[in-house]
Amino acid sequence: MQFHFKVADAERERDNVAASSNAGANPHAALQPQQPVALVEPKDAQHEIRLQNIVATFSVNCELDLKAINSRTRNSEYSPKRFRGVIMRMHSPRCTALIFRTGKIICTGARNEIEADIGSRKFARILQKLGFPVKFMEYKLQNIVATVDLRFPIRLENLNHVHGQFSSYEPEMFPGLIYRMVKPRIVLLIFVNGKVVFTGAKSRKDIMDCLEAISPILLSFRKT
Amino acid sequence: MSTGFKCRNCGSNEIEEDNARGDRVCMNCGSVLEDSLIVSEVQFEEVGHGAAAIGQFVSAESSGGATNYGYGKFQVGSGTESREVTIKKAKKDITLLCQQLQLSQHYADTALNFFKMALSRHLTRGRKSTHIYAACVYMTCRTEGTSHLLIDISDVQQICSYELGRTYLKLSHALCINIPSVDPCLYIMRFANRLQLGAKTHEVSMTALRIVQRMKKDCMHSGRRPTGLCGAALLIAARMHDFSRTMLDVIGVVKIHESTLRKRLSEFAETPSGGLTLEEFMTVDLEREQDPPSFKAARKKDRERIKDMGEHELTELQKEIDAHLEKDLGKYSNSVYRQLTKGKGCTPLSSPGTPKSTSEKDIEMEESRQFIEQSNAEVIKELIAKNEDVKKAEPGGLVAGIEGLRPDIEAICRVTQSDLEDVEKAKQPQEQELITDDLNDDELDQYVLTEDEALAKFEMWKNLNAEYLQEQKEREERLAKEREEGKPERKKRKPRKKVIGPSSTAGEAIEKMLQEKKISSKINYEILKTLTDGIGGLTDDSPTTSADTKPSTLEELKQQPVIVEEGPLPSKSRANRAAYDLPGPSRKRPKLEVGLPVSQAADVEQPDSKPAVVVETDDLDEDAEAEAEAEDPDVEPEAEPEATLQDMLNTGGDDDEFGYGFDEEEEY
Repeated sequence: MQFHFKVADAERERDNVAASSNAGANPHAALQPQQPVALVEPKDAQHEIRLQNIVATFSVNCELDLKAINSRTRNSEYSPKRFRGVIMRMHSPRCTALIFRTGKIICTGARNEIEADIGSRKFARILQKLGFPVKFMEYKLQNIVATVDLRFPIRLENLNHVHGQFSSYEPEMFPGLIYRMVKPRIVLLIFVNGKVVFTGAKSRKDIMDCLEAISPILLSFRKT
Repeated sequence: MSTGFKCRNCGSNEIEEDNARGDRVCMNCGSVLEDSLIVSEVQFEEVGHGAAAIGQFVSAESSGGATNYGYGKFQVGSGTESREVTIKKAKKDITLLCQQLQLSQHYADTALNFFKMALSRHLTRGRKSTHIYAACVYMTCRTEGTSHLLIDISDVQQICSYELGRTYLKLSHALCINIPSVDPCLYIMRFANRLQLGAKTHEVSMTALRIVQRMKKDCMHSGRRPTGLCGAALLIAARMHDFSRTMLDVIGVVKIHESTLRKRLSEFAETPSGGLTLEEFMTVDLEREQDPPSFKAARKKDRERIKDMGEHELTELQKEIDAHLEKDLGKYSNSVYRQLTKGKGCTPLSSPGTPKSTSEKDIEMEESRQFIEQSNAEVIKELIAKNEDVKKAEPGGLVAGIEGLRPDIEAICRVTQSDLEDVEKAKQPQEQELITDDLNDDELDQYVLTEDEALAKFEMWKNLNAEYLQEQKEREERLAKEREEGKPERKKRKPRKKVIGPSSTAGEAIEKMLQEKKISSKINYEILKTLTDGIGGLTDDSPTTSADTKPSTLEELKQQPVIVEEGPLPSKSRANRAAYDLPGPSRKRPKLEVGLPVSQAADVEQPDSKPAVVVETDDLDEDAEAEAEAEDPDVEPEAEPEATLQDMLNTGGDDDEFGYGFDEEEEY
């Protein structure tokens, strides 16, 4: 237990040196339930950002026959009355694509940028196999959703009071505080238990910058 | 024509202007230079026992105009502006809403002010007026600190409370009103009164208030609806004072679910204050504040997750530890290596003995120097950090009681290097070819069906979507038919107002409208077309021969039926029509068409200029005669009925051609 939490610490080296001396003894005996030390530096949290969803769009630059695509593939669904696009799903990486007649495709559900790229190219490859003259153009990440656990409780009421022009906190409606950061333009959902959801980012760097910007503010509104 | 400062007759500059009489007179010779000047002064009329000014009083903010048309709904009479009407309506509705919520007139006025603010910023557009009124009233409640909830207002107005909340949030953000957070303490009194506690209501409320304050300290209220806390507190307080209020009673008053109430009670029981006895609770106030329950739950989950991890995880950690250790050693050895290389400098490995001994000493010196430097650096860093803390504490300290960093506006506005880099990157061209080397093609092959499977799936899909396919087919047929008829494809185009030129008979006007709008399917367009065939013989030459403005095929087709009407009509009126330049280029075109063959016959050398001349000159009679000659033989059989109709309409207008034409147009 000791080992795991202190990996996230800034002083991990010292502790690890101490722990290595105990490596010979039974590790389980050394386990003690312990309240984890809160993150002191915002940089520590950066490696704990978890991306939850990535939305990417691209174009194959040719008109597509949706009926043909739907009939010739196993993993697609198409009901034109409900939605004017073919919905195609894939197992690895786990993604869903919305394919339109104009050749524009939206790929959602990927867990990181690489998966999104591979997934998009796989969809384009499927269309290529069906015989369309496919090109991989204008690939762009439109939205990235990420979460992070800061591991300290936050005073939402005070944050709402001081940062009134950016935040919107209405406990009657939603338990979290909605913070609309101007630069980078990202919306954060901040909860009282220290968990934060980032959404609206166009790149991972945006999220890192956002976390760097918000960490000192949240630390200043920490409880106890 | 204004005379300015000089008299026309004598040239003197002495001119007197009298606004009352409205004239300008020369003082020298006495001649009246101007009469009936436009004057602007206030006039009075006799009203009752005094004089009142003529005109409307208009406020400086308004646009000045007042509509005179009596709108049935408003019933305020003519002469009121639409904005005033809106505000009056809002006032009525807001006052009604406040009465239903038992709010005094003061609140209604405040709410109306919010509404006026929203109105002036155009925030009311696109939203239901009931939502806006309710949102304004709720804003008033929140700013004044009354114990009204969003749910109360949505109950009264039968609006979804989330919708109402959304409108309220948008309004308050747009008006830049910082509304304080909800305090559960406000609602205790209100709910206590409803619980029918009799004489002890006040005591129970006080106890409940204390409980809620304790809950706030223990952070149970963050992110939760205040009513839940109030319900739990009231239940406990009532029990403490020997009132046997059940959960159902409380739920009925407070409007939360039983499971929520249970959860709040259990959370409170977990806190140390919850473990105190009644007397202890009333007297003692524990110092330590608790973490919010959701935070505690998250930590518990983490701990359990760690416990579930087996040895596998630990060996990984061991590896990590070893890696870090090596890095540390590596750092040390690097510095030693560096010293060795430094010590050697330019001298090669000629004498290993002496350089080594000196280098060892050097190493020691180096290391001690480094150590001193590092420790100094640390001390300096600490001092800097302290200073920063001091700086940060100052603005925070100014805010009474609330610590916390204020937003850094300067950092928001700064253009960072990364932004510039992003712009540069965006300008670069992107890769276009699909690279599939690293993709697993076998898996993708599984997704593609074979021919037979594809056919089977297609059949199934057709069955499922039969209605949709039917609709599509009908749509296609309709479009194809329209294309045949020669109508422009009515796709999602902006409806451009087609100016229909003037027509001399009602019949002509109707036919023209039919052509434009294609109203009736009962009109046999084929027959209409045959009517034009006679004229069509003439006009068919003109498009091919004329070098001048050749109309598009659509225009041509449009004109042909139109020309039918023109044919039998007396050329006089047509000539008249050509005289003035009215909108409706299609009107001119047929004229051109008909005129062309005549002009061609007359003057073959200059066909281009002639048509223009033909159309624009006043030599209309000549033209008219020529046209009449050309068309009479063909059109005679049809001419008679139209001619008689024309005669009927033309009674008494023959002498003055121009006047007739003008009068006709003016009748519209």
